[in-house]
Amino acid sequence: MPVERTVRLTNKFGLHIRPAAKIVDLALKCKSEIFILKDTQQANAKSIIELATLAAPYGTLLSIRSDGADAEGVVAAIEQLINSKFGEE
Amino acid sequence: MKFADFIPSRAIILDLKTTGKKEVMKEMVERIKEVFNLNTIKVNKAVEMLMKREEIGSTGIGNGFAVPHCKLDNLKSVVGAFARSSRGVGFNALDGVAINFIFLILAPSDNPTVNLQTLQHISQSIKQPLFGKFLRQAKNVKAISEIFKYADEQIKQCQLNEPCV
Repeated sequence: MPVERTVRLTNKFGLHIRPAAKIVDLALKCKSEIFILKDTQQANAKSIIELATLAAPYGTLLSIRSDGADAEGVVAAIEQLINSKFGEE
Repeated sequence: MKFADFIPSRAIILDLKTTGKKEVMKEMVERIKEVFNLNTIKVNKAVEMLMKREEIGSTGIGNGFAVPHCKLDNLKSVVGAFARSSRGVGFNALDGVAINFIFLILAPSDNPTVNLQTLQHISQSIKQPLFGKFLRQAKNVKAISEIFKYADEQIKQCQLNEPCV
């Protein structure tokens, strides 16, 4: 079942390396591919380099998307991580 | 954005003499201070902040690249240095690969947007299939400058032909 959640980035400094690394940590727990989308740009959620190419600042709407059978829990966890501002300001 | 905006050719180190993370950072911050005439920067203080940032989580972001960085007050723009290490520097990168290429970035503390754009420029370059290979083969600083210019151009083309990350 495809799963997709849309969530707004609300940490002050946006999607810099530290938050990206936290997303990768979660995404690696699932075998399926997971993508983070910003407008038309798509990044593999298992790669810091790809996530950093999004350059998503505070306030950006991001979608978390996966078609994988084992992805639902991980997508929800990433959604929660973003909503928690990655533990930052 | 272009590499030359924040890493002029004088801030490129062809091959690091030391392999210790802290010594490498010191050498690179000293180079930035000299090249950008940043007389007010305290090198040891900046190195301490960079090391603290690494403790939170490695900035080894994959493919042999690390991007140690910190924010400093009184900086007008992003300033950086690039260094190559043929022997490899231990950065505890998340993918376990030894670090051969370091972009050290000092960023103004009050401008999150420009910091994200700098990181984006570096990441988009690393993603290019030949970037790392060319950097490995470069024989001198001039060659590395040319590789940076080529990467700038690829990114510009990419922005003109959306969608293309």
